Amino acid sequence: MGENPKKASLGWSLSRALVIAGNTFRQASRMKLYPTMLVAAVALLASSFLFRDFDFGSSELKFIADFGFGGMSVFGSLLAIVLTVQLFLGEIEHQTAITALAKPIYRSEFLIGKYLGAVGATAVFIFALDLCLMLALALREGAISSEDTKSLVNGVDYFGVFVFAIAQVLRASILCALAMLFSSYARSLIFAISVCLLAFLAGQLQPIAEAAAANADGGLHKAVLNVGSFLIPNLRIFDIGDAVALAGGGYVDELGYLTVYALIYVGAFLGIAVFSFSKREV
Amino acid sequence: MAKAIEVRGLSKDFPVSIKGASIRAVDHLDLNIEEGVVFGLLGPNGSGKSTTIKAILGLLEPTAGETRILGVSSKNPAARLEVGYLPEAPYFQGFLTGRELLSFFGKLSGLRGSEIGARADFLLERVGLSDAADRRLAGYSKGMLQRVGLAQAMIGNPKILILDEPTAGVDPVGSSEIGTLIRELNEEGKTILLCSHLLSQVEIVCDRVAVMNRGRLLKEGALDELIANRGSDTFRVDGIGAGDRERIFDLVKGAGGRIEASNSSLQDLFLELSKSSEGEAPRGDGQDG
Repeated sequence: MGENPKKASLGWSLSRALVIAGNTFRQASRMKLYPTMLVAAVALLASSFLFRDFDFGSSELKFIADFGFGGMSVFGSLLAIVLTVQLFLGEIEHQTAITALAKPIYRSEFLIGKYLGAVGATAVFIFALDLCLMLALALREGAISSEDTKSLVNGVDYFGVFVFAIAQVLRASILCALAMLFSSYARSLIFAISVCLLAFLAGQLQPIAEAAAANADGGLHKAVLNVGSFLIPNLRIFDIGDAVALAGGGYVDELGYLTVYALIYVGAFLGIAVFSFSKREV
Repeated sequence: MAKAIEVRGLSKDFPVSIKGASIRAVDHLDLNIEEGVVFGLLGPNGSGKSTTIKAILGLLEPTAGETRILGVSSKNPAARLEVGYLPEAPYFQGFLTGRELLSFFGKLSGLRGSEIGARADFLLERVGLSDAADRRLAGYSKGMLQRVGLAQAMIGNPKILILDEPTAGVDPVGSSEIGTLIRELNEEGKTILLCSHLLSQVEIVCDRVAVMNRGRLLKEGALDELIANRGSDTFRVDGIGAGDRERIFDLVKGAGGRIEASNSSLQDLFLELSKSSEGEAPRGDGQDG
């Protein structure tokens, strides 16, 4: 039997990866973790209404937006890490991956499919939170403007709120790729999640390393800082809440830059993950 | 006959925690499985059967040797286009229903559109799970999981089926039905590689068997020949009266021999081979052996 060229083509390869992605998305949506985190994040957002009795004026909207952005950012990032490790390494650990890998698929197709499914599930989570945030902002904006039109200096830029969600999906896509990379060789879920959380922390602190590298005198110290700040993605650049929340605008260029930045790291991390997983015995 | 599965000089070492040391799970194994046969791969726990199967499926990299499916190297995923696999103690995603599982694996096997639904319904009916088709697998019993596992192995209508303990956890009636199903599939032209501890079933359904222990092939051949030509002093005597039977007993005992009534079976052969290989040097210790 020779290799069936039809089934070895790029189209079929993509099709198989999408089949895995669809199943992974379904798996994520049926996990208890998913609705639990969604409820927790919405509850956090709803708690911002406890401050409605304070006379914030337009800054009340900013407060609600910041609260929502924070929830989206933290919960989205945590979900991206935990969900991806569970969906990929969990399948290997529980041996459910064996049956799928015994089908005529490449390991890279399996890995990419798992990644796409995890990113898709995280993106739906982030956009669901974004929708809740927009609803909360609209409710308060309507109430404030009917109470005192003078105090409402700036209206809410709802497209900006949507752009923020896209930025969080881009950040999550990097974290999912990082989780795939660590899961491709890790032997336990705890180890993979712990390392991913450390990497997430390092990504949040990356600008400090970058600044330290710029200020270093030279030599080995500077070289190490430079390499470190290059290898670790700067996750802070996705915190664009201040720029987009209240009647900002002019963030389309920034979104383009963020997309390219995320794609570079996603490509690099997934490339290493594919190589590592191809050597792994299941 | 063409070769469905070829295993040439297969060895597989697994590293152990001691630095540089390894354990040899499969040791220079050669197997040729021709198309259209039901081939039984037997051996006690830890004999290397599952490792051999994983190597055939390309799920692990051999330390030495190679495996081929229908002439294609197992390293090439295309080799698995014509293979259905039921893993030992199948762990399926509990969040899926039986129908969703078959649909998922059907798509991975290259089926499309309405073909998937029709094939899934047919197979669920064939393994007796039509009523449980829309229940989640998390609620399936062990026996039901084995059945749905068999159905997923058959979803792409492959030429070769590799079944690792298909009757584990299945009640005797279910085991008998699976045995019948295996024979039916073979009559439809499928090649079947069967690993099972249920020797009575292997004896009924298999044309050829290979017995492994400690990663080595102890015996391989047509089942009838293996049982008949054991080269031992065991005789099967039929069609004689009670008086003649007594005379034979007296004759043997009078000559200083030992005689007891028994039925020569695959189980006798299996136990004899397993015991005889137990005295050999232990595997592993970090050397290629």
